[in-house]
Amino acid sequence: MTSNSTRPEAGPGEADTSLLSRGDVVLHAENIRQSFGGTVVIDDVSVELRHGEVVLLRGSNGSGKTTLLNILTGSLAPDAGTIEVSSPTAQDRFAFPRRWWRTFNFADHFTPERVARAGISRTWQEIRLFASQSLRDNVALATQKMRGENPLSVLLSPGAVRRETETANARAHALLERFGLGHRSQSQADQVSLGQSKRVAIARSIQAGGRIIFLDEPLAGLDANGIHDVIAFLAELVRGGDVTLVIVEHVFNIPLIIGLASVVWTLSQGRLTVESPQRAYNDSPKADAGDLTRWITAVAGPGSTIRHTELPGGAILSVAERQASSDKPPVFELRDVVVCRGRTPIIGKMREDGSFEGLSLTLPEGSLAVLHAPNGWGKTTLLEALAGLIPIHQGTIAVDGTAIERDATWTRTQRGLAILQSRYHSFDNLSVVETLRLAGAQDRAKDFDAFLKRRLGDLSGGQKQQIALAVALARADARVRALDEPFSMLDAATIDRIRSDIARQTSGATLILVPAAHES
Amino acid sequence: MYPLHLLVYFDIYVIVALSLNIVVGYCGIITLAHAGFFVVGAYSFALSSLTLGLGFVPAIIIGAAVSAILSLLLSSAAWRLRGDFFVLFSLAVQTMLFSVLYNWWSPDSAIGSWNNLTNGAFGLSDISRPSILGLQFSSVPSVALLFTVIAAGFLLLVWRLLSSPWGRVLKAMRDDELATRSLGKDVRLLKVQALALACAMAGVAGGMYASYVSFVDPSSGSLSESILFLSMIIVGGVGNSFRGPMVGTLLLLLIPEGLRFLNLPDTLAVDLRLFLYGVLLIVLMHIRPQGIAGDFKLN
Repeated sequence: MTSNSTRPEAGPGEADTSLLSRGDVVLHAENIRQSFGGTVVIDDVSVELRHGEVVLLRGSNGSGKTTLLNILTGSLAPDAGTIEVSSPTAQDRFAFPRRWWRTFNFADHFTPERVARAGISRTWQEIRLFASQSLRDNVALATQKMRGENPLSVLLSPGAVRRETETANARAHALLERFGLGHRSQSQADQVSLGQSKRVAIARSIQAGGRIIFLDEPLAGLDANGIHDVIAFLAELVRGGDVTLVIVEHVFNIPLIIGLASVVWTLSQGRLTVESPQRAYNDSPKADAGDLTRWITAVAGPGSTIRHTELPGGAILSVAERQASSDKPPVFELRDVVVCRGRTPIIGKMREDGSFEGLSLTLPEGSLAVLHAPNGWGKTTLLEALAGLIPIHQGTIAVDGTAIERDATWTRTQRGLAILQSRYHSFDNLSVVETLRLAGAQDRAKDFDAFLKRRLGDLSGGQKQQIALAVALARADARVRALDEPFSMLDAATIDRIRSDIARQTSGATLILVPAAHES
Repeated sequence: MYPLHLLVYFDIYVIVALSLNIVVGYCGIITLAHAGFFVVGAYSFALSSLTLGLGFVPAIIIGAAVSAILSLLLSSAAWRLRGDFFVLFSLAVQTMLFSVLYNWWSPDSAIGSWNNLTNGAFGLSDISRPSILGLQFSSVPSVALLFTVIAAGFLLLVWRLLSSPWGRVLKAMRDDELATRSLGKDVRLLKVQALALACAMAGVAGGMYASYVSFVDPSSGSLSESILFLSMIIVGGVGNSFRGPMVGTLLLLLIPEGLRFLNLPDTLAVDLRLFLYGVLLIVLMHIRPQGIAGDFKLN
């Protein structure tokens, strides 16, 4: 199938009967091209979206998924092509390249707000709720054409504005209830779990009047419960049939979500192929809850010990010990560590007498450990506390028997602590080669030939994650490597390569943090 | 009489602080040009009063309108510039407004004429105290009463607007502009509205100031005044309708007044005042970045 086709290939035993009618096309993009610095990222791609359709968009890292999503949602104007968005009442058409004089017509810009008003909405991998506002307000403010957003109307028609606001708030509350979040309606957006945030983001898109909703990795970072909730919610949306969904999802999550899809778009080297869900399912690597545990068992080798420890809050620590135990102190040790946000303990818990019970764990020399923790357990908080970005309330963090909890972040690094924080901690204005040099990882440059001179800010999420991992694993003298969701956003081939890199690190200890019962 | 004199100044500056809170606290835009719009309002008021013979209310409205129109200088830049670059642009606007007021004069021309619009560094004097519908507000108590009513009116206006969906969408724009745009919100229009309102309010405060002091010169719109205004809301805090701006205004008004009672030489008192402002800002940045009564941390 060529890139400009919009018909799915039939899978084994399937009839090619879908996508034949053009009567209800809601979005039509034709001959879209986009390049960055001479590298063609989207190459003559044409797609059609029909009302009620569910599209799964997949592709390896750097294949152009995010770029295509940014183009179709108005965040990026392509180099060439046309985009038509149809609604029951109007049709918007954007042709590229735009003529220079059109920049003077402020009503005719290709912008996210213009595209949103045409009925296209989106969610982000990093969710982007409005942190200072309640969940209800996050959803309610997405209401379109609110008179209350005009200051003159607020002053001159207070009654009408009040009624309209009450209606929008009630609708937002009803949407949150429909998604099982009615009881958290007044909670501030930065105080709910990842899974809840993802549902709020989708609710916000619906409140915004999105008839076509692009979902960027809606399952990323979720534990088993969160995945179940989001999939159930998306299934309900699909059953309603009133929205069209385009879902970008990580390779290992595709089997979880493929059941919703009616068609699959596969991007490879900038070209798009339309396939059947069955074919995509057959192609996708399958991972289950025991995948990482099996991997560390295999890495540890026959006869090695795998120690499973249940930690407070429902987390499980699995440690593969690759060396015989010795009298040396453990490479890494947490003793009774409590980390608080404000007065609330995030790591550890408060006893009835008001004292704290902290987190304790030890990693011996050569160990490889996986910490499975549910959403909201505090993985990110723990990493930040280890790195010295936030203080601990009590306890000891030790590397090779030396307490480091009072050290500055850079001193901890000098003592051998290497941290991979989860996402978006990159130097966006540096090129890849500059970043690798900064981290002393020049020898990894050959792995990134394809985008060595590009700014990190211009890379896809998966490419950024590869660079972050290369930086975190660069130091040969690192004693403790703590990696928060290292395999997120990576394609299957890259995950295999990264796992090999980690397995080769036999000195010190490696701790991998992932959501509970959901891996890679 | 002295407390009423302070009340007049509080009324004037609290309007400035309330207006700046809209821009800084709700839009997340830091501007160093606010004193420029304050003094533009003062000059517009003074010229309307001196040369056109307009009364207090129409002259104030003209001052507000001129400041609001000139706010397009800022809002059009805010469409594209963010963070430090916008601060630098606002500094340029501040400098430009100050320079225009300072240099638009000619010794041979009448004050208020095209060639001598501002009378340069000498400023404009003999500006009349407020008079509304035949009521003269010439004494300090009567001015204090009038200005308190005006300030209370603006407080209600700002509270009403910022607690409406308009305030909610401004906060959304502050928290995440791209996400707000992707919900179909016209952030350019929002910035134009917010800056026009804030600059118009600063213009009103400038007119009130000119009317009370009966004199205005370019120094009222200097960069140090802009920094003072910004300090008021950083110290008091931003992100809520009026608590933070009121606390900040009160505190930064009382510091120099308190120094008066130490009988220090003027030059030393000025330096000490700036020193105390600096200490206050440094201490607050460390122990309470959202200000004394604010809800939003500037970062």
